[in-house]
Amino acid sequence: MIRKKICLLGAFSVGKTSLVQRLVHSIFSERYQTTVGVRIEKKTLMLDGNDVSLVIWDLQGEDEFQKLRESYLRGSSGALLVADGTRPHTVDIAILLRDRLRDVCGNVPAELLINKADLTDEWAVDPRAVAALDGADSEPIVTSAKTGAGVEGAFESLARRILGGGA
Amino acid sequence: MGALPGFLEEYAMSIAVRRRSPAYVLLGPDARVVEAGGELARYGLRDLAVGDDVTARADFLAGMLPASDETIELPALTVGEGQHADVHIGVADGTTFVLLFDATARVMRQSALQQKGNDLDLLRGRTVRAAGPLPADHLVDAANVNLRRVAVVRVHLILVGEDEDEPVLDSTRVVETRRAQRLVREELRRQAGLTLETGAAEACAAFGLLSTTGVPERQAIDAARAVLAIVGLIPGVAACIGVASGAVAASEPTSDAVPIVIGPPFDHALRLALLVGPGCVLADDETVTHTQGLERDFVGWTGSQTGPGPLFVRRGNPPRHGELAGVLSALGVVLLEVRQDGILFPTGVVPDWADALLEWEGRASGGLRPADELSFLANFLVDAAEFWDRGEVGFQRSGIWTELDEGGENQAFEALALVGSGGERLLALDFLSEAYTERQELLQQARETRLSFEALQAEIQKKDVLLHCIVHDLKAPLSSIVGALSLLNTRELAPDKVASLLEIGLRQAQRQEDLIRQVLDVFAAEIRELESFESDPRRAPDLSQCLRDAVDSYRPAYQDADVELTLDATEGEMRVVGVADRLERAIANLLENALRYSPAGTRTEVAVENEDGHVRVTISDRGPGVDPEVAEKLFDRFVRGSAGGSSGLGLYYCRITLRSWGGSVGYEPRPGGGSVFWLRLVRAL
Repeated sequence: MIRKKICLLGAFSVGKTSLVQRLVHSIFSERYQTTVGVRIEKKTLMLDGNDVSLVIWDLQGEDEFQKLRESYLRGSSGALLVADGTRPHTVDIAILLRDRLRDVCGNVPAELLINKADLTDEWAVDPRAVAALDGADSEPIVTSAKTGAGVEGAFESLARRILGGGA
Repeated sequence: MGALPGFLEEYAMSIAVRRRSPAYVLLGPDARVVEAGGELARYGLRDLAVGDDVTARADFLAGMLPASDETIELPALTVGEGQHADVHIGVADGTTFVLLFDATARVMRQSALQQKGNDLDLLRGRTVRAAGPLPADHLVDAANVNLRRVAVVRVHLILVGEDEDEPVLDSTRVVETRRAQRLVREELRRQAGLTLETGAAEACAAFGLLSTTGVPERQAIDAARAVLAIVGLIPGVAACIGVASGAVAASEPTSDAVPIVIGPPFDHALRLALLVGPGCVLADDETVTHTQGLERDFVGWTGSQTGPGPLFVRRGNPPRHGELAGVLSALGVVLLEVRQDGILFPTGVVPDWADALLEWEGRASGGLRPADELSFLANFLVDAAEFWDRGEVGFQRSGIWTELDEGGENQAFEALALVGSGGERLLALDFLSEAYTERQELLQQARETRLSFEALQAEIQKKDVLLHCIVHDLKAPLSSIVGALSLLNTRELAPDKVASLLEIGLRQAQRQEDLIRQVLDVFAAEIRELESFESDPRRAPDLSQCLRDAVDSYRPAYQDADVELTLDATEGEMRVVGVADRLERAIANLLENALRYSPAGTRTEVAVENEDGHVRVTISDRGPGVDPEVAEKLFDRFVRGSAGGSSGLGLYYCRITLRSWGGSVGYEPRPGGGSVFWLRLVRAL
């Protein structure tokens, strides 16, 4: 079986852990519970008839209280950069983290996720504007850990890019 | 530090007194009881009655009465079978009093410690004799004893919980340990003139390891005994072991010291000593007989009954890091020595929780390696290897990580790569429980506060923009009014011109009034959003009537704008969930919105249709329609179309009002051009 390490990066409270919980356990909790350090989960995806085992490193959100340790990124085949659609500055943080990812891992695939698509009333990020940001890898993927919309697709998309790129 | 405030002092005193089971007796001049109370039974004075001769009941008072003016204290008197009390006798206001406080626990503890102290010399002698058959490097060099006999004193302070068999060693109680450390330090300085250095490793210091070297043995043993006596009196620090050495060179405290376990609770102390002990450990307690279990847990040690308690002898090589491993094991930390090939060798007992992280590298080798699935630890070992290669004494943390256990619960861990002062490569694994929870809770609070702050900031920004829009919209009609009034005031005008200017002024004033009303409606609606509404069909609003009233009130404005307004509704009642005046306001807002965008000569249609349990009202105009980008946010606060003259609050008002009634509002393009705005209301049934 192909085994790949991927990381989830982003500001705090953007929904990284919720995305993993949705993918791995098909559950969602409204209650925000901050991640301290790293949570590691595993998920096997079936892609084109092949099983791909993802070792998912759900990293603590970065802010003034916690900083990302770059050594956590070592060996990552790709990453999901997660932003919160209701908090525009989290897009900036996601893009900064993408640069740090590249410093450590080189040009590995990274998908930008705009999460919390269910909170349309409070949505304050335009994915098209985000896509236009200089250096974006690809179109952002709009997700909702609450409804599950786009979640599995985002992980699959990253896995495909990892396999396609031979990373 | 000043004295306690009066009210606090009273409270503190009341607690202190209650815990010591006080009792009192007041006596007349003839030593007969005038009054008595408290826990007299505890002191053998059950049924003491007024008029009794107290000296006949309490032997300990014989010869003590009559009392003098100066109160005397008789500490730790034996007042009954196994019962001890601190007794105070004095005179206050002409009355003789006897006050008793329970001292049994303290006396028992002191007695036990004294007994152990008295036996210490004998035990030490037996230990040295028993160590005779050990390998040469573990033997005491008798020739050096007289002149070079010095000791290493290591005092391990152990915090215990309610159950003394279950040591509790957590950071929340470090304060107690620190207090114990301070007292121990002071006592040693006083008793033996020693200055103890706190253990070099930070972890040891936090949990109470003190050590010193170069102390004459006799002095060290006396000091250890004194330390035990002190520590035994500290609440929450109910145990300690003093490890006194055999003979070692003054400048080279080495592993040939012979520990003597002298502190309760015995089983735990002994286990710690076996982890710490270099070659042999003598148990100073006849209750320790279960050598088999200890031999199983501590591979390499053999126990034999040689005195009151067993003597344990290590047959293998003593661990190089045994002492640190012992302390860390007691704290639930696994300490592993790292060989050049990367294999990890435990220096103490490997607890069950570590099974999730480590796999045996073949039982025969006794080595361990990170479990196959454990990517975090494997990743950290890369960093650790770099750290070890640098060879600088110190440590590097892995950071916290969590793994799911077999029960699906998240468990938190942290690893430390250490380089010892001798260049040793060590890996410590810590199972975090309370520390992790505390840290997470603190971080959670900080971040929730940050999120609240961000939400508040966003709300303030929205309000600022809203305020700007409102002021701008109010200013436009005001300019027209001022202009019209200025013309009226400064020129002689024809009557028809005057009428025209008055009409302009009036229309603009009404427009301004409408805007103000909308603003007030919205703020009021936000406040009322959670208020009750009418769902009883007998009192619920009649949608048909609301529609007719709203259409009638707007018909003149539509006529002025040359826009036809039609209503296609049933004649009968149609009760819906809501509040009549607010429903009419919502309909009016949609009619006003349609009028604003309808070109002259067109038609706006109001229609009603029944849906399952709901009623849908549609207002269709033939205006330019709504840009799809704007349509997504059309019902948000202060989103405005291109026509102007709107506060951007009318549709927002509709949304929050309808939503509070379980209904909804929406927009869709009208086939053939124009807009359809709709309200969906719940039928009151």
